[in-house]
Amino acid sequence: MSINSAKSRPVLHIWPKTEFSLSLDPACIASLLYLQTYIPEQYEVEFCANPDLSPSGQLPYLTHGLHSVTGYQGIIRYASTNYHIDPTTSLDPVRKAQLSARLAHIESSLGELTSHVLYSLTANWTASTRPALVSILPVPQKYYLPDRIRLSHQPRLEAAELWNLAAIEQEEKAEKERFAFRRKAKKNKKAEEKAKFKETVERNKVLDKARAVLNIYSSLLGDSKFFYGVERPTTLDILLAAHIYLLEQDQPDNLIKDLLTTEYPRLVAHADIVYQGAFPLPSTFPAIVSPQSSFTLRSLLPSFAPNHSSGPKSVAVQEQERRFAIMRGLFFGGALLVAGAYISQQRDALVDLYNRIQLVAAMAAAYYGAEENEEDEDNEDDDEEEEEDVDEEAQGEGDEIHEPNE
Amino acid sequence: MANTSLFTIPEPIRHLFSRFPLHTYPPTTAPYHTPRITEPTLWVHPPRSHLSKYSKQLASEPEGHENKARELDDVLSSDVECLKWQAYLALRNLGQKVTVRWDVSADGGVDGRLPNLHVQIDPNSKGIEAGIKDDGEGELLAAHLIPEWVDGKVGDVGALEGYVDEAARDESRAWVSLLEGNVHAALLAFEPQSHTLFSLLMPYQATTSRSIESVLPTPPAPLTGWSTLFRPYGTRLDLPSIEFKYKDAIAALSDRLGTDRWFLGSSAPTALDALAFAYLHTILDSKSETLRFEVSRRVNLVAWEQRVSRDVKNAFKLYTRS
Repeated sequence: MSINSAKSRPVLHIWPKTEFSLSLDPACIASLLYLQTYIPEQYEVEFCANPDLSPSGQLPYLTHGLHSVTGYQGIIRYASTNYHIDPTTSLDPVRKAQLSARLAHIESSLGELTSHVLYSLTANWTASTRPALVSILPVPQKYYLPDRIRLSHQPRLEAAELWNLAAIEQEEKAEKERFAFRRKAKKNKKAEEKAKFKETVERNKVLDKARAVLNIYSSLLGDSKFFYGVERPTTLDILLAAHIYLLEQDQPDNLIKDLLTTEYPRLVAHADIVYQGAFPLPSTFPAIVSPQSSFTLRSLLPSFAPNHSSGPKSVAVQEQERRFAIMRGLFFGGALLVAGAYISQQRDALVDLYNRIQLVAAMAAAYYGAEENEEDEDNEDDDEEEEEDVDEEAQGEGDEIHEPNE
Repeated sequence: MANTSLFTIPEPIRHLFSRFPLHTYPPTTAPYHTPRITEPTLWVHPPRSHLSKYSKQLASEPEGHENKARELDDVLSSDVECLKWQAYLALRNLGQKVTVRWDVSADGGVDGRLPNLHVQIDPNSKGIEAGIKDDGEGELLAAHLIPEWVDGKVGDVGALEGYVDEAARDESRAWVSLLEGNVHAALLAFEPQSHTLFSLLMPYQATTSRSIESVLPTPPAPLTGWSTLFRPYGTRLDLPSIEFKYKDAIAALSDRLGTDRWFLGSSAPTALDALAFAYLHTILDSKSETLRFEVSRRVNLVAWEQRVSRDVKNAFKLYTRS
């Protein structure tokens, strides 16, 4: 393949591989599976650990020349438009509409479960997810970025009641005690039993939520190979498979994995079929591009200007940006006005200060000027004395010269 | 059983204590009496046409001037969460009109949020402990308790929740996710927040709805970037992606409704219809042209919203203080 055609291939930027999965993010895995299923060998992959390089600040994103798109649905839309892919051609408008709704449902419900397993369950976070993030990030990001990513999932998981606050607080307390130079507090059996009971209730709640979602897709799939009985996996199949793939990975706390294995083997088999269809052999993994850009010193500083995604912007986005620019201009203009008004009000004090500075400068000049004059006078006196000495010496020598002649 | 103590108070001290209280004043009656609750009253955020007037009333006008007769069109709340429950109450056919009021701040609601339903205490209700005296003040229900109250009035919806079959019920979960996810995110991203100077200066801001971070499927990036050494600040939204998902959601909603009377082919309105109405009405009432245009070009959605809007408005009446 020529270099030019290699350069014209789209590049998919996803989180790097870890010990336990293709990537850390289900959207990254879904995008990879989709492109590998429908346009194998026509794209490349770049493992990217810096989401700031993305136009939206999130991974995955796809670049093709000067064009870039973000998110799983954006990548699907791009591939569908440029490579004429439509796995849902045989579906009627009602089923296509249902598919859109179900994509949102999986992204929302299964996405929350996946985030809970990776970021909220203490055992998985400390022994699996955090070490995986630390291994792919450079210094100094590896010291603060993993916790920052974890906390970014908190609002969503709290709203879904999947943020295990008690366990996380316990984990932080244990961390502090580990590094504290004092005797460990005595274990309170009653408190421990209470905490264990609470944890069991929380885990059962998570399992109920998981069953509520998985039952729906298990009954929808039935005995078919793919949803809606189509021949090739749809975007729904691929997105579900990506989530099941992550949830199926072996973790220190296999809360959801055990549920999937025991109660939903059909969904696990479906995910395997989708994965095997995309990667029948290990050698079928797409070409990996070495990262062209990585973390720089500039990335340590805050960046307020977002990376502008290429492509035409909609009226709403332009209107939003115009409004933001106006508010920013008003803010800085207002700040300058207030500063100017303050300075003009304090004018007398400023003039007084200026006069004092002048006075001090004059006094200093006078003082140092007087010293210099004294020095100059001393120098002049010294010079005169020297001259007198020289004259005396000269006169003395002259007398001596004249005396021998006489 | 009498308490016996080893220690007894000496007589002189007991005599001194017996002089207190020195004087007991007669009980005072409060000038304000809580009116007895006689019908269910829904506390909501005010309608859009009353938003600027409402903030002025809170700040300046004395009490007693709030209760003017207003047009029937101003019954529907501007907040999508409140409107959802308004629609739910209306479409469940309670058989009576529900009073609606918006002169109560969100701080006065359960957990500081609206809507709340103020109802009479039902002595036959299972949740009420025996021996509780009804003082006429009723009880205030949080939003998540409204379905249970309605079931107590009109009967349970059943295992299918009003849908034609299990498949439709399962499908309704997906539509709820679509509306509360993609559509709600677009409302938060594109609908400009109305602020008054008073609300900006207030140290405490009452939250009217969920934050966008809790609605988006993936956490948005901070405005200052992920990698910065400094504490992250702000939120960077992927507006083109949010807009695309919103348009896709509205198109899907329109295709799924088709010419049906209620969503998913149900014979009677369901919770999904209440939710869909709340979002469609809020979008059609919003200031964002992009959001409005996407719905207004779908004729079936507009016609459906108008029909349901009449039913919902007719189920409410304005609160008047006696």
